[in-house]
Amino acid sequence: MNAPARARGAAGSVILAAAALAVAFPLYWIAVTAFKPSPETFQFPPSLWPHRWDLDPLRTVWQTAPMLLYYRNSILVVAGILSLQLATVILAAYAFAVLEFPGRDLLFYACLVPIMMPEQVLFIPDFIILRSLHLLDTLAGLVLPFATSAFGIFLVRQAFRGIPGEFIDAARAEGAGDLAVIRHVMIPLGRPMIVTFGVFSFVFHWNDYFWPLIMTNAVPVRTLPLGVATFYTQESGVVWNQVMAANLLLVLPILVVFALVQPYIVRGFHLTLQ
Amino acid sequence: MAPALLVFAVFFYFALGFNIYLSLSSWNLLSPERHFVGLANYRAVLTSPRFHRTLWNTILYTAGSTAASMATGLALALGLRRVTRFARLLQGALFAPYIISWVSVALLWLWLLDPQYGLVDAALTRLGLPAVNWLGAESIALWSLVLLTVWKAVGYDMVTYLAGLQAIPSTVYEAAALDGAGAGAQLFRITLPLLGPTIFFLLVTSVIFSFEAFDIVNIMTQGGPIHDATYLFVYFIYVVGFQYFQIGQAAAASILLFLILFVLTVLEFRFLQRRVHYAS
Repeated sequence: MNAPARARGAAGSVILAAAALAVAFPLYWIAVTAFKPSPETFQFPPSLWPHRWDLDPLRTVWQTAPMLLYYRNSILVVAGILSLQLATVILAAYAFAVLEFPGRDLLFYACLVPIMMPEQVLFIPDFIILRSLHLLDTLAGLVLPFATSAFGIFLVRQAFRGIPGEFIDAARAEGAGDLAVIRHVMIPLGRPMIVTFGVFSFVFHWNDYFWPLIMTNAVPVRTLPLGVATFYTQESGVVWNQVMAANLLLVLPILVVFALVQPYIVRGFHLTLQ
Repeated sequence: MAPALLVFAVFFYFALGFNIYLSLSSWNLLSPERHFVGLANYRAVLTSPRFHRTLWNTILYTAGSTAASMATGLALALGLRRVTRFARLLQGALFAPYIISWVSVALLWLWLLDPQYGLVDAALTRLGLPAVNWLGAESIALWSLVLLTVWKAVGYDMVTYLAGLQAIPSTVYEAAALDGAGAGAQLFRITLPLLGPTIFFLLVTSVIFSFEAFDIVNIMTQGGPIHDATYLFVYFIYVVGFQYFQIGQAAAASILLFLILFVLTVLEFRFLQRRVHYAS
């Protein structure tokens, strides 16, 4: 590389680093505000580093709202959705990828139409359906409509179709039934796609605000995003360090998970685009 | 397979049919009275000034956030193509906003854009620039929502481009360099054409995501500040259905949304299938 090119490269790196910093800074601002004493949040110019790290906002949030209950509900809902989805998605993907039966393609298309139809389209009839099933204001009402995933079926079916038929035939020759084939051949070989789907689904449902907002009202079944959002709509006026402390409690788990599974997320983009 | 089909049958296909039926009825959700009104709900929605404003807002929001995040995402992806630890670190930072919830994004930006104590206006004032009433001015509020949407989405676009870029064999560039193609020619003659499918995929998914936007409106502006300035499609359905209890009109608006998204989904699926054929 000659000198001007190297200078251009350095300038480019600086610009890119500045862009990344600008994007990441707001996340830092959540954390900093959450640890500032209240008067410091009204100060001009704002302090970029708290004069004193104050644990009171977090403590107040934890004491005034049933945060533990919110966490519990969110964990139960997401765990319920994930376990049901993995079961139904793997079974359906196997049927569509491996088995031959009349009407298979038609049924597959029937499973594909909902693929990009978000929960925001049919929430009115779904609300009425859940109401007549007496599932409003229940955790089951937050889980059951998501017991399967069109996107998951599509992705995992692609992965299963990539598995050579000889593996399946070999397992069958040793007397393995469908469930054994799924357990010993399909799941181990399709694992990257299954895990990737699971990660995306986890992130989506952990963050979901819309469905619980529509389908629940009672505090005992409130999930974390809804609970955190209520900190902003307090009647006594907005207390920013508490709002950000609550926000921190919502963001932190997902960022930790992100750090742990980042390779799967990045790989997910490659897998889904191939 | 049967359980999956059952879920779709109830919460999608039955719901869709039920929604069509509701869209042809007059009902307030609570009373037992429900009667058939034909297409009156569609007529009411399509002639309502609020719906016109909503549709226009949704188009502006979708066009603005899609164009800005796709362009910025492409620039970042091209800049961070090389596989170095530095690039990977910056990629992680840029992608982080994408995985946090819209609730977090809404609360955070309410605070950043706060007219009295917010960081953004403080920075502007410090630089000698006039402060901006980000969410309180009718002409600006929608663009503030675009701004934070771009902030959240740009990492997703970047990572998708990076996946597309990785599929371009380096031999193509080597051959072009031998033929004397400069950086500009390589970008416009090789990179962008070969990224075509990725760009198309991103375009469709971004448009779909934009049409789904709801949380930021409900938490940050409730459609305001005035004159329905930030009403977006889903928020319109929500208000009509769950605040005015005009279930028929809300259902009619849902069907319109469904049709828009259905067309987009068909486009997207065509694309996915073609890509799959390439790979296998």
